[in-house]
Amino acid sequence: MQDGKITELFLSRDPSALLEAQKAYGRYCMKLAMNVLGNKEDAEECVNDALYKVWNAIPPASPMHFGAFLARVTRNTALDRRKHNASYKRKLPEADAVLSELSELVSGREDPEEAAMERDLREAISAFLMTLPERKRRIFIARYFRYESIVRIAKENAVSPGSVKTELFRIRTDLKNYLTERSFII
Amino acid sequence: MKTETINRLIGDLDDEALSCEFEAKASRPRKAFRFAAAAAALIVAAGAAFGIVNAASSNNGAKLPAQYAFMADTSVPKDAVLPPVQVGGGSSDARYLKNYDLAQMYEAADAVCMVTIRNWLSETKVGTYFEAEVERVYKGELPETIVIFQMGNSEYHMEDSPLYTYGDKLLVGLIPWKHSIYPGAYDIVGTDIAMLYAAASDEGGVYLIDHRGVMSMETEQNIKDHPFTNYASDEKLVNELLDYINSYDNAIYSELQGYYRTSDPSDTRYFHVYSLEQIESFFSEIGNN
Repeated sequence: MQDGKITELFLSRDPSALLEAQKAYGRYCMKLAMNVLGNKEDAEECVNDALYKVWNAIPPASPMHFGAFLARVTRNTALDRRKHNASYKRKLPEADAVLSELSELVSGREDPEEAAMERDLREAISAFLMTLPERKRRIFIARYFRYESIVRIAKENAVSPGSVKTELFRIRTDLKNYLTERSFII
Repeated sequence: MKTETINRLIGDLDDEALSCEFEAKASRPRKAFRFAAAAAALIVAAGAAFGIVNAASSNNGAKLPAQYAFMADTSVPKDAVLPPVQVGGGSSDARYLKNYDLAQMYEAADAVCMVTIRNWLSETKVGTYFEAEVERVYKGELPETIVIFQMGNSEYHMEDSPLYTYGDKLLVGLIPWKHSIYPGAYDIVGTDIAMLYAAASDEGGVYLIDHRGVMSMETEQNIKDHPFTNYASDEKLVNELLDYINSYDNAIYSELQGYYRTSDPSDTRYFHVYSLEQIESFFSEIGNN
Protein backbone atom coordinates (compact mmCIF):
# COMPACT_ATOMS: atom_id res chain seq x y z
CA MET A 1 0.00 0.00 0.00
CA GLN A 2 1.28 3.49 -0.82
CA ASP A 3 2.33 5.91 1.89
CA GLY A 4 -0.51 8.34 1.19
CA LYS A 5 -3.10 5.59 1.67
CA ILE A 6 -1.55 4.49 4.96
CA THR A 7 -1.59 8.07 6.23
CA GLU A 8 -5.26 8.35 5.17
CA LEU A 9 -6.09 5.24 7.20
CA PHE A 10 -4.42 6.76 10.26
CA LEU A 11 -6.19 10.07 9.70
CA SER A 12 -9.57 8.29 9.53
CA ARG A 13 -8.68 6.31 12.72
CA ASP A 14 -9.05 3.03 10.86
CA PRO A 15 -7.31 0.27 12.92
CA SER A 16 -6.21 -1.48 9.72
CA ALA A 17 -3.73 1.41 9.43
CA LEU A 18 -1.53 -0.39 11.95
CA LEU A 19 -1.60 -3.61 9.97
CA GLU A 20 -0.79 -1.82 6.72
CA ALA A 21 2.02 0.13 8.38
CA GLN A 22 3.39 -3.11 9.79
CA LYS A 23 3.17 -4.79 6.39
CA ALA A 24 4.88 -1.94 4.57
CA TYR A 25 7.55 -0.98 7.09
CA GLY A 26 7.53 -3.65 9.82
CA ARG A 27 10.67 -5.37 8.59
CA TYR A 28 12.51 -2.12 8.07
CA CYS A 29 11.63 -0.83 11.54
CA MET A 30 12.43 -4.17 13.15
CA LYS A 31 15.88 -4.15 11.55
CA LEU A 32 16.46 -0.55 12.59
CA ALA A 33 15.43 -1.31 16.19
CA MET A 34 17.56 -4.48 16.21
CA ASN A 35 20.55 -2.46 15.04
CA VAL A 36 20.14 -0.10 17.98
CA LEU A 37 19.02 -2.56 20.66
CA GLY A 38 20.55 -5.87 19.60
CA ASN A 39 17.73 -7.80 21.21
CA LYS A 40 14.72 -9.23 19.43
CA GLU A 41 12.19 -8.90 22.23
CA ASP A 42 13.15 -5.30 22.94
CA ALA A 43 13.14 -4.52 19.23
CA GLU A 44 9.65 -5.95 18.82
CA GLU A 45 8.36 -3.92 21.76
CA CYS A 46 10.10 -0.86 20.39
CA VAL A 47 8.39 -1.23 17.00
CA ASN A 48 5.03 -1.72 18.73
CA ASP A 49 5.67 1.39 20.85
CA ALA A 50 6.60 3.32 17.74
CA LEU A 51 3.40 2.28 15.98
CA TYR A 52 1.41 3.27 19.06
CA LYS A 53 3.12 6.66 19.11
CA VAL A 54 2.40 7.12 15.43
CA TRP A 55 -1.25 6.15 16.02
CA ASN A 56 -1.43 8.91 18.65
CA ALA A 57 0.46 11.40 16.53
CA ILE A 58 -1.63 11.09 13.32
CA PRO A 59 -3.83 13.10 13.48
CA PRO A 60 -3.00 15.92 14.14
CA ALA A 61 0.24 15.18 12.27
CA SER A 62 -0.16 14.38 8.59
CA PRO A 63 3.26 13.32 7.31
CA MET A 64 4.07 13.70 3.65
CA HIS A 65 6.20 10.57 3.76
CA PHE A 66 4.80 8.03 6.18
CA GLY A 67 7.81 5.68 5.95
CA ALA A 68 10.29 8.40 6.94
CA PHE A 69 7.97 9.53 9.75
CA LEU A 70 7.64 6.01 11.18
CA ALA A 71 11.38 5.39 10.79
CA ARG A 72 12.19 8.56 12.75
CA VAL A 73 9.79 7.60 15.54
CA THR A 74 11.19 4.05 15.63
CA ARG A 75 14.79 5.26 15.77
CA ASN A 76 14.07 7.75 18.54
CA THR A 77 12.05 5.18 20.49
CA ALA A 78 14.86 2.65 20.18
CA LEU A 79 17.47 5.18 21.31
CA ASP A 80 15.33 6.19 24.31
CA ARG A 81 14.92 2.56 25.23
CA ARG A 82 18.63 1.92 24.89
CA LYS A 83 19.39 4.94 27.07
CA HIS A 84 16.97 4.07 29.83
CA ASN A 85 17.50 0.36 29.98
CA ALA A 86 20.36 -0.61 32.24
CA SER A 87 20.85 -3.83 30.30
CA TYR A 88 22.35 -1.85 27.44
CA LYS A 89 25.50 -1.42 29.42
CA ARG A 90 26.56 -4.49 27.49
CA LYS A 91 28.50 -3.79 24.34
CA LEU A 92 26.59 -3.31 21.12
CA PRO A 93 29.35 -3.13 18.54
CA GLU A 94 27.41 -1.53 15.72
CA ALA A 95 25.73 1.27 17.69
CA ASP A 96 28.96 2.00 19.57
CA ALA A 97 30.92 2.11 16.33
CA VAL A 98 28.42 4.53 14.77
CA LEU A 99 28.60 6.86 17.77
CA SER A 100 32.36 6.68 17.73
CA GLU A 101 32.44 7.69 14.07
CA LEU A 102 30.05 10.56 14.75
CA SER A 103 32.21 11.75 17.63
CA GLU A 104 34.87 12.61 15.03
CA LEU A 105 32.55 15.31 13.78
CA VAL A 106 32.10 17.17 17.04
CA SER A 107 34.25 18.71 19.75
CA GLY A 108 32.51 16.89 22.59
CA ARG A 109 32.09 20.18 24.49
CA GLU A 110 28.75 21.69 25.37
CA ASP A 111 28.05 25.13 24.01
CA PRO A 112 25.50 27.45 25.66
CA GLU A 113 24.24 28.54 22.27
CA GLU A 114 23.89 24.98 21.08
CA ALA A 115 20.16 24.61 21.73
CA ALA A 116 19.43 27.78 19.82
CA MET A 117 21.31 26.65 16.74
CA GLU A 118 20.09 23.03 16.73
CA ARG A 119 17.26 23.66 14.33
CA ASP A 120 19.53 25.50 11.91
CA LEU A 121 22.09 22.77 12.23
CA ARG A 122 19.57 20.04 11.49
CA GLU A 123 18.45 21.91 8.40
CA ALA A 124 22.07 22.37 7.36
CA ILE A 125 22.77 18.63 7.68
CA SER A 126 19.67 17.88 5.58
CA ALA A 127 20.79 20.45 3.03
CA PHE A 128 24.28 18.94 2.93
CA LEU A 129 22.84 15.49 2.32
CA MET A 130 20.81 16.82 -0.57
CA THR A 131 24.04 17.98 -2.21
CA LEU A 132 25.35 14.40 -2.24
CA PRO A 133 24.84 11.95 -5.08
CA GLU A 134 22.05 9.50 -4.16
CA ARG A 135 24.39 6.58 -3.57
CA LYS A 136 26.48 8.52 -1.05
CA ARG A 137 23.36 9.82 0.66
CA ARG A 138 22.02 6.27 0.90
CA ILE A 139 25.26 5.06 2.47
CA PHE A 140 25.25 7.92 5.01
CA ILE A 141 21.61 7.33 5.99
CA ALA A 142 22.10 3.57 6.23
CA ARG A 143 25.05 4.00 8.58
CA TYR A 144 24.09 6.96 10.74
CA PHE A 145 20.30 6.84 10.65
CA ARG A 146 19.70 3.10 10.42
CA TYR A 147 22.87 2.01 12.31
CA GLU A 148 23.56 -0.56 9.60
CA SER A 149 26.76 -2.59 9.63
CA ILE A 150 29.50 -1.77 7.13
CA VAL A 151 29.29 -5.28 5.69
CA ARG A 152 25.57 -5.02 5.13
CA ILE A 153 25.85 -1.57 3.52
CA ALA A 154 28.56 -2.95 1.25
CA LYS A 155 26.23 -5.75 0.18
CA GLU A 156 23.31 -3.39 -0.38
CA ASN A 157 25.44 -1.24 -2.64
CA ALA A 158 27.43 -4.03 -4.27
CA VAL A 159 30.79 -2.63 -3.19
CA SER A 160 33.49 -3.81 -0.79
CA PRO A 161 33.36 -3.00 2.94
CA GLY A 162 36.62 -1.10 2.53
CA SER A 163 35.13 1.25 -0.02
CA VAL A 164 32.13 1.89 2.26
CA LYS A 165 34.49 2.87 5.08
CA THR A 166 36.42 5.19 2.76
CA GLU A 167 33.18 6.69 1.45
CA LEU A 168 31.89 7.31 4.98
CA PHE A 169 35.14 8.92 6.05
CA ARG A 170 35.00 11.28 3.07
CA ILE A 171 31.37 12.15 3.73
CA ARG A 172 32.09 12.91 7.40
CA THR A 173 35.00 15.14 6.39
CA ASP A 174 32.89 16.93 3.78
CA LEU A 175 30.06 17.39 6.28
CA LYS A 176 32.42 18.86 8.85
CA ASN A 177 33.85 21.27 6.30
CA TYR A 178 30.35 22.16 5.05
CA LEU A 179 29.19 23.02 8.57
CA THR A 180 32.39 24.87 9.51
CA GLU A 181 32.20 26.99 6.36
CA ARG A 182 28.68 28.00 7.45
CA SER A 183 30.00 29.11 10.84
CA PHE A 184 28.53 26.29 12.87
CA ILE A 185 30.54 25.54 15.97
CA ILE A 186 30.45 21.81 16.33
CA MET B 1 28.75 19.80 20.62
CA LYS B 2 28.30 16.29 21.99
CA THR B 3 28.03 13.11 19.98
CA GLU B 4 24.52 12.49 21.31
CA THR B 5 23.38 15.82 19.90
CA ILE B 6 24.58 15.16 16.37
CA ASN B 7 23.17 11.64 16.62
CA ARG B 8 19.79 13.08 17.63
CA LEU B 9 19.88 15.66 14.84
CA ILE B 10 20.50 12.91 12.29
CA GLY B 11 17.48 11.13 13.75
CA ASP B 12 15.38 14.20 12.98
CA LEU B 13 16.46 14.66 9.38
CA ASP B 14 13.68 15.82 7.11
CA ASP B 15 11.64 13.60 4.82
CA GLU B 16 13.48 14.70 1.70
CA ALA B 17 16.87 13.71 3.10
CA LEU B 18 15.53 10.36 4.28
CA SER B 19 13.48 9.60 1.19
CA CYS B 20 16.37 7.82 -0.55
CA GLU B 21 16.04 5.03 2.01
CA PHE B 22 12.55 4.20 0.91
CA GLU B 23 12.72 5.05 -2.77
CA ALA B 24 15.82 2.93 -3.07
CA LYS B 25 14.18 0.06 -1.23
CA ALA B 26 11.27 0.09 -3.65
CA SER B 27 13.43 0.04 -6.74
CA ARG B 28 16.50 -2.00 -5.80
CA PRO B 29 15.00 -5.46 -5.35
CA ARG B 30 13.53 -5.42 -8.85
CA LYS B 31 16.91 -4.55 -10.32
CA ALA B 32 18.59 -7.21 -8.22
CA PHE B 33 16.01 -9.74 -9.32
CA ARG B 34 16.63 -9.13 -12.98
CA PHE B 35 20.38 -9.14 -12.48
CA ALA B 36 20.31 -12.26 -10.37
CA ALA B 37 18.06 -14.11 -12.79
CA ALA B 38 20.25 -13.12 -15.73
CA ALA B 39 23.41 -14.07 -13.85
CA ALA B 40 21.95 -17.41 -12.81
CA ALA B 41 21.03 -18.16 -16.42
CA LEU B 42 24.54 -17.22 -17.53
CA ILE B 43 26.12 -19.38 -14.85
CA VAL B 44 24.10 -22.41 -15.91
CA ALA B 45 24.74 -21.73 -19.60
CA ALA B 46 28.47 -21.27 -19.02
CA GLY B 47 28.62 -24.41 -16.92
CA ALA B 48 26.80 -26.41 -19.55
CA ALA B 49 28.80 -25.08 -22.49
CA PHE B 50 32.30 -25.21 -21.03
CA GLY B 51 32.02 -27.62 -18.14
CA ILE B 52 32.86 -24.79 -15.79
CA VAL B 53 32.10 -25.61 -12.18
CA ASN B 54 32.56 -22.19 -10.63
CA ALA B 55 31.17 -18.95 -11.92
CA ALA B 56 30.52 -15.52 -10.50
CA SER B 57 27.23 -15.01 -8.74
CA SER B 58 25.30 -11.81 -8.85
CA ASN B 59 24.60 -10.54 -5.39
CA ASN B 60 27.94 -9.98 -3.74
CA GLY B 61 30.63 -10.93 -6.15
CA ALA B 62 30.87 -14.38 -4.61
CA LYS B 63 31.58 -17.57 -6.50
CA LEU B 64 28.87 -20.19 -6.31
CA PRO B 65 29.10 -23.60 -7.92
CA ALA B 66 26.88 -23.67 -11.01
CA GLN B 67 24.52 -26.24 -9.53
CA TYR B 68 23.80 -23.79 -6.70
CA ALA B 69 23.16 -20.80 -8.92
CA PHE B 70 19.73 -20.51 -7.30
CA MET B 71 21.47 -19.40 -4.11
CA ALA B 72 22.46 -16.18 -5.89
CA ASP B 73 18.87 -15.01 -6.10
CA THR B 74 17.87 -13.54 -2.75
CA SER B 75 15.48 -10.93 -4.11
CA VAL B 76 11.83 -10.67 -3.17
CA PRO B 77 9.72 -9.39 -6.07
CA LYS B 78 7.10 -6.78 -5.28
CA ASP B 79 4.25 -9.12 -6.21
CA ALA B 80 5.44 -11.92 -3.89
CA VAL B 81 2.72 -13.12 -1.52
CA LEU B 82 4.15 -13.04 1.99
CA PRO B 83 2.59 -14.56 5.12
CA PRO B 84 0.45 -12.02 7.02
CA VAL B 85 2.83 -12.37 9.97
CA GLN B 86 5.74 -14.75 10.59
CA VAL B 87 5.59 -14.69 14.35
CA GLY B 88 2.15 -15.42 15.75
CA GLY B 89 0.85 -14.27 19.12
CA GLY B 90 1.37 -17.65 20.76
CA SER B 91 3.78 -20.48 20.25
CA SER B 92 3.93 -24.24 20.60
CA ASP B 93 6.85 -25.99 22.17
CA ALA B 94 8.72 -28.15 19.68
CA ARG B 95 10.35 -30.20 22.46
CA TYR B 96 7.36 -32.50 22.34
CA LEU B 97 8.15 -33.53 18.78
CA LYS B 98 10.09 -36.66 17.91
CA ASN B 99 13.79 -35.97 17.37
CA TYR B 100 15.64 -37.09 14.24
CA ASP B 101 19.28 -37.37 13.36
CA LEU B 102 20.32 -36.76 9.74
CA ALA B 103 20.11 -40.44 8.82
CA GLN B 104 16.74 -40.92 10.52
CA MET B 105 15.36 -37.86 8.76
CA TYR B 106 16.63 -39.20 5.42
CA GLU B 107 15.16 -42.62 6.16
CA ALA B 108 11.77 -41.30 7.32
CA ALA B 109 11.30 -39.00 4.32
CA ASP B 110 9.80 -39.94 0.97
CA ALA B 111 11.90 -37.19 -0.54
CA VAL B 112 14.84 -35.12 0.70
CA CYS B 113 15.59 -31.88 -1.08
CA MET B 114 16.67 -28.28 -1.04
CA VAL B 115 13.76 -25.92 -1.68
CA THR B 116 13.21 -22.20 -2.03
CA ILE B 117 9.99 -21.03 -0.43
CA ARG B 118 7.86 -18.93 -2.73
CA ASN B 119 4.35 -17.49 -2.29
CA TRP B 120 2.28 -17.92 0.84
CA LEU B 121 -0.88 -19.77 -0.22
CA SER B 122 -3.23 -20.01 2.75
CA GLU B 123 -3.49 -21.10 6.34
CA THR B 124 -5.67 -23.43 8.39
CA LYS B 125 -6.21 -23.74 12.12
CA VAL B 126 -3.15 -25.98 12.24
CA GLY B 127 -0.67 -24.72 9.72
CA THR B 128 0.28 -22.76 6.64
CA TYR B 129 0.76 -23.69 2.98
CA PHE B 130 3.54 -22.31 0.82
CA GLU B 131 4.58 -22.82 -2.77
CA ALA B 132 8.14 -24.05 -3.00
CA GLU B 133 10.60 -24.48 -5.83
CA VAL B 134 12.55 -27.71 -5.71
CA GLU B 135 16.21 -26.85 -6.29
CA ARG B 136 18.12 -30.07 -5.51
CA VAL B 137 16.78 -33.57 -4.81
CA TYR B 138 18.76 -36.03 -2.66
CA LYS B 139 16.13 -38.71 -2.33
CA GLY B 140 12.92 -39.55 -4.20
CA GLU B 141 11.37 -37.73 -7.14
CA LEU B 142 9.72 -34.37 -7.03
CA PRO B 143 8.21 -31.97 -9.55
CA GLU B 144 9.81 -28.56 -10.03
CA THR B 145 7.20 -26.86 -7.84
CA ILE B 146 5.50 -28.32 -4.80
CA VAL B 147 3.24 -27.22 -1.95
CA ILE B 148 4.77 -27.43 1.53
CA PHE B 149 2.84 -27.43 4.79
CA GLN B 150 4.39 -25.78 7.84
CA MET B 151 3.00 -26.15 11.35
CA GLY B 152 1.81 -22.80 12.69
CA ASN B 153 -0.20 -19.93 11.31
CA SER B 154 -0.67 -16.23 11.91
CA GLU B 155 -2.14 -16.95 15.35
CA TYR B 156 0.67 -19.13 16.70
CA HIS B 157 3.99 -20.52 15.53
CA MET B 158 6.32 -23.29 16.61
CA GLU B 159 8.51 -21.87 19.34
CA ASP B 160 11.69 -20.26 17.97
CA SER B 161 10.66 -21.04 14.38
CA PRO B 162 8.90 -18.18 12.63
CA LEU B 163 6.76 -19.01 9.62
CA TYR B 164 8.67 -19.22 6.39
CA THR B 165 8.51 -16.48 3.85
CA TYR B 166 9.36 -15.86 0.20
CA GLY B 167 13.00 -16.66 -0.52
CA ASP B 168 13.78 -18.97 2.40
CA LYS B 169 16.10 -21.77 1.34
CA LEU B 170 15.70 -24.97 3.30
CA LEU B 171 16.98 -28.50 3.32
CA VAL B 172 14.04 -30.69 4.28
CA GLY B 173 12.78 -34.24 4.35
CA LEU B 174 9.25 -34.50 2.98
CA ILE B 175 6.30 -36.85 3.46
CA PRO B 176 2.85 -36.51 1.92
CA TRP B 177 0.50 -34.32 3.97
CA LYS B 178 -2.69 -36.31 3.97
CA HIS B 179 -4.93 -33.58 5.34
CA SER B 180 -4.01 -31.06 2.68
CA ILE B 181 -6.47 -28.95 0.77
CA TYR B 182 -3.86 -28.92 -2.02
CA PRO B 183 -3.36 -32.17 -3.93
CA GLY B 184 0.13 -33.59 -3.53
CA ALA B 185 1.20 -31.26 -0.70
CA TYR B 186 4.09 -32.27 1.55
CA ASP B 187 4.71 -32.06 5.26
CA ILE B 188 8.22 -31.61 6.67
CA VAL B 189 9.66 -34.55 8.58
CA GLY B 190 10.32 -33.49 12.16
CA THR B 191 8.52 -30.19 11.58
CA ASP B 192 11.01 -27.47 12.51
CA ILE B 193 13.60 -29.41 14.44
CA ALA B 194 14.79 -31.67 11.62
CA MET B 195 15.25 -29.12 8.86
CA LEU B 196 18.20 -26.90 8.01
CA TYR B 197 18.34 -23.32 6.74
CA ALA B 198 20.63 -22.88 3.74
CA ALA B 199 22.72 -19.75 3.22
CA ALA B 200 25.69 -18.65 1.13
CA SER B 201 28.88 -17.12 2.49
CA ASP B 202 30.57 -14.11 0.91
CA GLU B 203 33.06 -16.51 -0.66
CA GLY B 204 30.25 -18.44 -2.33
CA GLY B 205 30.23 -21.50 -0.08
CA VAL B 206 26.83 -22.99 0.69
CA TYR B 207 26.18 -23.85 4.35
CA LEU B 208 23.35 -25.33 6.36
CA ILE B 209 22.28 -24.10 9.77
CA ASP B 210 20.70 -26.17 12.52
CA HIS B 211 19.94 -23.32 14.89
CA ARG B 212 18.32 -25.38 17.64
CA GLY B 213 20.98 -28.07 17.34
CA VAL B 214 18.46 -30.79 18.08
CA MET B 215 19.15 -32.74 14.91
CA SER B 216 22.89 -32.19 15.40
CA MET B 217 22.70 -33.49 18.96
CA GLU B 218 20.96 -36.64 17.71
CA THR B 219 23.44 -36.96 14.85
CA GLU B 220 26.46 -36.63 17.15
CA GLN B 221 25.05 -39.27 19.44
CA ASN B 222 24.02 -41.74 16.76
CA ILE B 223 26.42 -41.34 13.83
CA LYS B 224 29.78 -41.49 15.51
CA ASP B 225 31.60 -43.10 12.58
CA HIS B 226 30.94 -40.13 10.28
CA PRO B 227 32.57 -36.96 11.61
CA PHE B 228 30.82 -33.70 10.80
CA THR B 229 32.60 -30.36 11.06
CA ASN B 230 30.66 -27.66 12.87
CA TYR B 231 31.61 -24.22 11.54
CA ALA B 232 29.67 -22.34 14.24
CA SER B 233 32.88 -21.18 15.90
CA ASP B 234 33.78 -19.16 12.78
CA GLU B 235 32.02 -15.97 13.78
CA LYS B 236 32.82 -14.15 10.54
CA LEU B 237 31.34 -16.95 8.47
CA VAL B 238 28.22 -17.20 10.65
CA ASN B 239 27.65 -13.46 10.40
CA GLU B 240 27.94 -13.66 6.62
CA LEU B 241 25.40 -16.47 6.55
CA LEU B 242 23.03 -14.56 8.84
CA ASP B 243 23.40 -11.43 6.70
CA TYR B 244 22.56 -13.51 3.66
CA ILE B 245 19.33 -14.76 5.30
CA ASN B 246 18.51 -11.27 6.55
CA SER B 247 18.47 -10.01 2.96
CA TYR B 248 15.11 -11.75 2.47
CA ASP B 249 13.87 -12.88 5.88
CA ASN B 250 14.35 -10.64 8.88
CA ALA B 251 12.20 -12.78 11.19
CA ILE B 252 14.25 -15.92 10.74
CA TYR B 253 17.47 -13.88 10.76
CA SER B 254 16.48 -12.43 14.16
CA GLU B 255 15.65 -15.87 15.48
CA LEU B 256 18.91 -17.39 14.29
CA GLN B 257 20.93 -14.42 15.50
CA GLY B 258 19.33 -14.73 18.94
CA TYR B 259 20.20 -18.40 19.06
CA TYR B 260 23.75 -17.76 17.89
CA ARG B 261 24.38 -15.02 20.46
CA THR B 262 23.20 -17.14 23.33
CA SER B 263 24.61 -20.40 22.02
CA ASP B 264 26.62 -22.36 24.56
CA PRO B 265 29.15 -24.73 22.96
CA SER B 266 29.25 -26.78 26.17
CA ASP B 267 25.65 -27.75 25.49
CA THR B 268 25.19 -30.29 22.71
CA ARG B 269 21.97 -28.56 21.70
CA TYR B 270 23.74 -25.53 20.32
CA PHE B 271 24.00 -23.71 17.05
CA HIS B 272 25.46 -25.91 14.28
CA VAL B 273 26.68 -24.95 10.82
CA TYR B 274 27.60 -27.54 8.21
CA SER B 275 28.98 -27.16 4.75
CA LEU B 276 26.58 -28.42 2.11
CA GLU B 277 29.36 -30.61 0.74
CA GLN B 278 29.59 -32.70 3.88
CA ILE B 279 25.83 -33.14 4.11
CA GLU B 280 25.58 -34.10 0.43
CA SER B 281 28.44 -36.53 0.82
CA PHE B 282 26.65 -38.09 3.80
CA PHE B 283 23.35 -38.35 1.93
CA SER B 284 25.17 -39.92 -1.00
CA GLU B 285 26.80 -42.41 1.34
CA ILE B 286 23.60 -43.50 3.09
CA GLY B 287 21.65 -43.39 -0.18
CA ASN B 288 23.99 -45.98 -1.69
CA ASN B 289 23.73 -48.36 1.25
